[in-house]
Amino acid sequence: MDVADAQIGQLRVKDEVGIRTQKLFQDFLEEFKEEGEIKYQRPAANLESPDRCTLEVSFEDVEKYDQNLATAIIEEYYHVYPFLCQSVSNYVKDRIGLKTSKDCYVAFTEVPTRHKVRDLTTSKIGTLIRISGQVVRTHPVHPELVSGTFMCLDCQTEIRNVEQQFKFTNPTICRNPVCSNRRRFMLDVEKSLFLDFQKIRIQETQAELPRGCIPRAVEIILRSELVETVQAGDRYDFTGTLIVVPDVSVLSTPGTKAEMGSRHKPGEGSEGVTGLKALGVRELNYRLAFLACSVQATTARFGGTDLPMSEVTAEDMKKQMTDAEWHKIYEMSKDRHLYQNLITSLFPSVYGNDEVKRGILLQLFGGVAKTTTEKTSLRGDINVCIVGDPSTAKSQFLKQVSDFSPRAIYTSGKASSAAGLTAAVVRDEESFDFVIEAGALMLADNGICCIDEFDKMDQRDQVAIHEAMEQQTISIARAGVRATLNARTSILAAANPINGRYDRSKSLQQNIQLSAPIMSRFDLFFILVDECNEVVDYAIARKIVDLHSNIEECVERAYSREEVLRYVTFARQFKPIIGQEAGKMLVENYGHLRQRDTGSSGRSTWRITVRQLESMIRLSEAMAKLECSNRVLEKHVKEAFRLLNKSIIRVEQPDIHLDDDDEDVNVDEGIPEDIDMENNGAAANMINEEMDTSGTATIQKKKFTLSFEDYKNLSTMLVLHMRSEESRCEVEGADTGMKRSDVVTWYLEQVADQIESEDELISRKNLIEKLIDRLIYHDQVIIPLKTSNLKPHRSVRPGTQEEEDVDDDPLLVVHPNYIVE
Amino acid sequence: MHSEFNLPKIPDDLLVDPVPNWKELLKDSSKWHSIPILNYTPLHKLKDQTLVRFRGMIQDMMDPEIYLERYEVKSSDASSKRLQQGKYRDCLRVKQGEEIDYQAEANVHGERRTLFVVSIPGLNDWTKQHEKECSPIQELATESQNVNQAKKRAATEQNDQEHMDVDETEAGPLKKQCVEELQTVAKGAASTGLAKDYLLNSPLPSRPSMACMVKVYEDFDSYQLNTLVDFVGFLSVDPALDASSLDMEALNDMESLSELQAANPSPFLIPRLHAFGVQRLPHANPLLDQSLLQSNEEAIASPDVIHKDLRILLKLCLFDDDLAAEYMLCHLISTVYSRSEMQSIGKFTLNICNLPKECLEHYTTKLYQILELLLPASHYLAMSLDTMNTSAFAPKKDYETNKLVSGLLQLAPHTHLVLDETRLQQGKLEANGVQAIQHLAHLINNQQLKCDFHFYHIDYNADIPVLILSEGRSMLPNDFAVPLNADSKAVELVEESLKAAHHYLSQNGRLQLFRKYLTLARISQFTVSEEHTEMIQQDFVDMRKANVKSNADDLHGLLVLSRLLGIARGKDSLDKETWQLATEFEAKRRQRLQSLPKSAAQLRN
Repeated sequence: MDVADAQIGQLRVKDEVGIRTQKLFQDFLEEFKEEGEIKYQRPAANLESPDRCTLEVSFEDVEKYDQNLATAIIEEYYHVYPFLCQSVSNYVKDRIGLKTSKDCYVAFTEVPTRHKVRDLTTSKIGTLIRISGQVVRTHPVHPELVSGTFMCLDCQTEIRNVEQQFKFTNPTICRNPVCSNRRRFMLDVEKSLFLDFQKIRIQETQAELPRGCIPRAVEIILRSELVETVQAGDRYDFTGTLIVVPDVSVLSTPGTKAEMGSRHKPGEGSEGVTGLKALGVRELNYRLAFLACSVQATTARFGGTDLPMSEVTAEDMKKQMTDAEWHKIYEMSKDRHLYQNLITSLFPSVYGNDEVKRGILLQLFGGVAKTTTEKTSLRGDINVCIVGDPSTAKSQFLKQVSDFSPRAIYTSGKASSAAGLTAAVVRDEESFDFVIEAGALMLADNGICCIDEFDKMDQRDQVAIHEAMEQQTISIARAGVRATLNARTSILAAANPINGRYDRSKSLQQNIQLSAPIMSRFDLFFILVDECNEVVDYAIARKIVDLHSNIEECVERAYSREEVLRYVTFARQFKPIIGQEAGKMLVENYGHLRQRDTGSSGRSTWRITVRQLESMIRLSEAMAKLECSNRVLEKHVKEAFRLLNKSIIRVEQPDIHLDDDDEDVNVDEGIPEDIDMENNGAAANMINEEMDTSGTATIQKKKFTLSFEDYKNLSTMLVLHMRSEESRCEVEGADTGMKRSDVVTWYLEQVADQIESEDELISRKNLIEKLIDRLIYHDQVIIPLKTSNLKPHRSVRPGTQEEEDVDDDPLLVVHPNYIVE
Repeated sequence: MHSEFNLPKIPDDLLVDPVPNWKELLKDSSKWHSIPILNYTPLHKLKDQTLVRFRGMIQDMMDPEIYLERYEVKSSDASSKRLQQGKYRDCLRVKQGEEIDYQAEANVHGERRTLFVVSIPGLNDWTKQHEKECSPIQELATESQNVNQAKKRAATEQNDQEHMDVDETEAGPLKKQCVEELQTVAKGAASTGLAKDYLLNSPLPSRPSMACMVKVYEDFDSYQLNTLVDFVGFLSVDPALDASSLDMEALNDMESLSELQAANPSPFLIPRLHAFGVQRLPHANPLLDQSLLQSNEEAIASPDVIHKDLRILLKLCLFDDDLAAEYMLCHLISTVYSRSEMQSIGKFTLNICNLPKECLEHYTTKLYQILELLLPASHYLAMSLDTMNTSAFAPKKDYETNKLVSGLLQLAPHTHLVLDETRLQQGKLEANGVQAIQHLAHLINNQQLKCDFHFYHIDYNADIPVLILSEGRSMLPNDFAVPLNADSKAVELVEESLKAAHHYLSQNGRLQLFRKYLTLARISQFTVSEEHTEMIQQDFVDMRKANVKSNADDLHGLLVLSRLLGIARGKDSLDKETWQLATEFEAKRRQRLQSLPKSAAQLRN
């Protein structure tokens, strides 16, 4: 009736293909060597124990050994399967010298192509394939009658080896030629052969599902050693073949058919329209089922995030891709503006907020998880928190990430299910046992957990999330259940400020309702402030109108979503190692941060601890991954440091590295984002603190590092002085400003009483020079007037010395639009 | 009877060589007229294998099915053999003394899909009535019909009627659980199988719908969940299709029994239809469906006039409140017209609040009665504590039976959901109730239906306009909250005005005009020119300057409102006048909202 029966038919006839395959496969088992050893000798020997009967064979080995054999197995798998098993049986028998013959089976692993549940069509029936899916239902294990021995109830003749395929099959007729019994047989259980048998059902995963469709499911049949190896909810790869099993009625025994037949006795009007309600009314429905010979837990599912420590390399990924896909990835990795292009492709509908986009992008790549020699694991996942005013696209970011990333969960801190964010112990309704119900963090294992309204989180979860965010586990000890569960997830959180709007006069911690320990577990903190800005408003309005007028894709993205996703998946496989220079730089930058922290106790939002160093490392690694680099280079660290600084800048203004200015500018060139603007914004908007007296500037010798506050105070002092000078000059109609040297001298005079040694004087002088440079070239608060138009008499003066002097000592004017707070 | 239209009479007509182009033929909607509509024809009046059509919503999709597309039949003595076609049929055709040769080379396996289609949930009485009138009356086929069979069918007909009639008394939360049944099955007792309600899977248990399993043969992936379709195909009601008639003890496969029964219910409860023609319905309004007979074609009056009349009607129903009537009208013609990046644009969830206390008791239901007359499909949900705590809201996959068990939010596009918050009492909202609120909020915010697949949730796009009637501000999120400004005189006269509204509707065929107008407005196009885009941008910037708290959502609201106001007035593009009208309305509405007494919860925001 189906392939199965066809099989029986062919068995009786001598099957040439089968026999040849059997011989070839036996040769393979006997000859295939790996590292000078016959590979399958030892596994075969293990089959001696009575509860083992399956030999696992890597399909790659078969391919290496004989391409023809491999092709034959792939294409005619169902057909040749009994022969392959026979050769295994023979091989095992030869190897270990079993006295009685034992039925052994073969299980193939590592079959190259993997299919989705949706790809299974009739054309794949009978071939060896691998499919993956999520187990949704498991049935209990049953013994299955494989071949039965029957006793004829009329003449007591024994009929042996009656093959059973998916249903209980009586012998068709008694072997005894004089007995014509066709119905009355008895199964001899003792002499029949049974195998363990389990039916399970797998279903398409969410990511594979076309929009608007119901997930497809397929039944899988597991036999002998495979039973009870899977659990509902997990994802597995199954290798085996697609078969067709008859549906319902045909499955039923003759008794049922007789009964059904009796409802339509022959001739009872059956010849009407249909003309078929005679004896053999049968449905013609079949179902697809999958007969599995091996099961593996799915790792590194393509398009998904894999286990962090899995051994998937870029090469493996490459194998799974088509040429065109690979080409595109290669092209992308060579893109010079990849960083920028990726963020525009990822969030085309969110205007601005480039830093947040960068942070989220790096989060997608993630750092490298490590295990120390003491077996402590260090997380590689990057946690990001966005705090901001209402309607600043926070939720948009979260929604898009959860929509885009294959294993992301979107949840709200106010989630009300019993499991909440972490996990809960609940009583199972049916069995009355306590079971663990997974919360969002567990469900997003190896993915991203997007938590909206993070600050409104349940108190219970707040405690549990401490552990989840740093150790990436969740421990439960409740109602007799004690367990530690994995929650290897990156957290993307959004929180609202306490009073609905971000209060700039307060620190970050005063603005959100989160405890310091939780805050310190975030690698990046972004603050979105809803500022009234005509240009931005215009752009937003435009965007919205376009959306409403149904103009598709108003932003041209460099790459499609799928391309970005594929690239991220690919690049995630890299495990960059920190180079020496990069390492040095990390240490140095950490030093900066730490010093700034100790230098200004009480003011900072949180203490700079090793956590921030780890964050910097993770971010650098993510940067390296983004560029598909195997080493973390200095530029990666630089960007990581910049981002880390940026992420807290709005609250805790970072120190100004006066001597780093030149390099900073270089970084900025690479990334079209103006640090000046940001700093200006910060300077202009964020400081409401009282002006301290100017003299207390702490100077890091040689480094010329100033805390932002001091920098601000100092520059304000200079600007105010210059302004007053300017107005004085205007009143007096005299010289129209101050020369650079005048300013320096003036400053040194101001602090003269604090200077005790000559060294200090020099360093102060250097400091003020640097400061002025920064104000001129970086913040553009002070404008140097180098042109001589204003002072024609100067240009008349001859002499190169004088010229240089002019360049060195230009006239300084405060930017007319600069507002001092 | 069908010959004049050349429609196929039996499945084999579709398979003759050369294959006639039925799709072309079915494009002519008049061809559909003569086909009996299964929804409205009792099963006993239809023979097996007759041509029928079924209108409904795709509720569930099942796994692929393999069947014998062509198979060889040989007589038992192997003297003769012939080929049979298996397409568009459920049963193999074997005459007495013949058997099927499963090994024959000529056998061809085909693939088909089964869609679980339910008649449109929440279809209103007038719609049903109209569709029923359009279905050709099927005379009883007596010839070649056995008396015995007729009797049997008559018996099933009763069954049938039961679930086709909208029996409001049957209302009440039906828990869609079959655990009990399952347990009895497991015990091996002679079981009756799964409950009827469970098999029928009506989204709205209080208004049971009819179900049909439609087998499709092509374009498998073009079908989307919760969309409206009209299928033409062959009916299949062979009793052999019923799995519950199987001998339980003989089945060695006990644990999948409930699954088998769910997949093979009695064909008299859920008939099968082998579809060869399909029409996707953009709306459920039969008045505008060419494939349903139009009784008397009247020229549609100018949209302006209808618009005015309709506003008068709504004003009458809404305590003489002009603004509320405008918003209500916009709500009635709203639709999600674009989706991008997680946003559903065009949704118009309206919250009419501040309902006068004096007439709360009956007003909401009476208002709904008017809406029911205007809309092809709608559902009124009294948000009582009991309903919230016990009804199934979102669909949930039952892996025991491999079915997507429906919930009352599984509604077809443009089915209006009217939530009556005035029915809410004090009490404890249990886990189910909290989830129900979440599902509602998700639907309102994203116009997406979250289906529970146990291991994960899947969002399906929906387009269900939600109207919330409440005393204070609604606890559910909404796009537009309009506090009623009830005229004290109108409050007293509300009974009379509602009666007057009914009378008003019955005059001059207004009802039909309104029905057509609302559906046409919903599906009409609207554009915004470049010049007006500039204007809107400038307005937004000014708005931001004037009020820092105004944000992008406000602009979204304004755009949707202006679009709907424009469409209601019969315009096809935005003009300044409409835009100003929209801003004006919004300003008025905001003002009303501000004067509303604020509860503690709103003060926090």
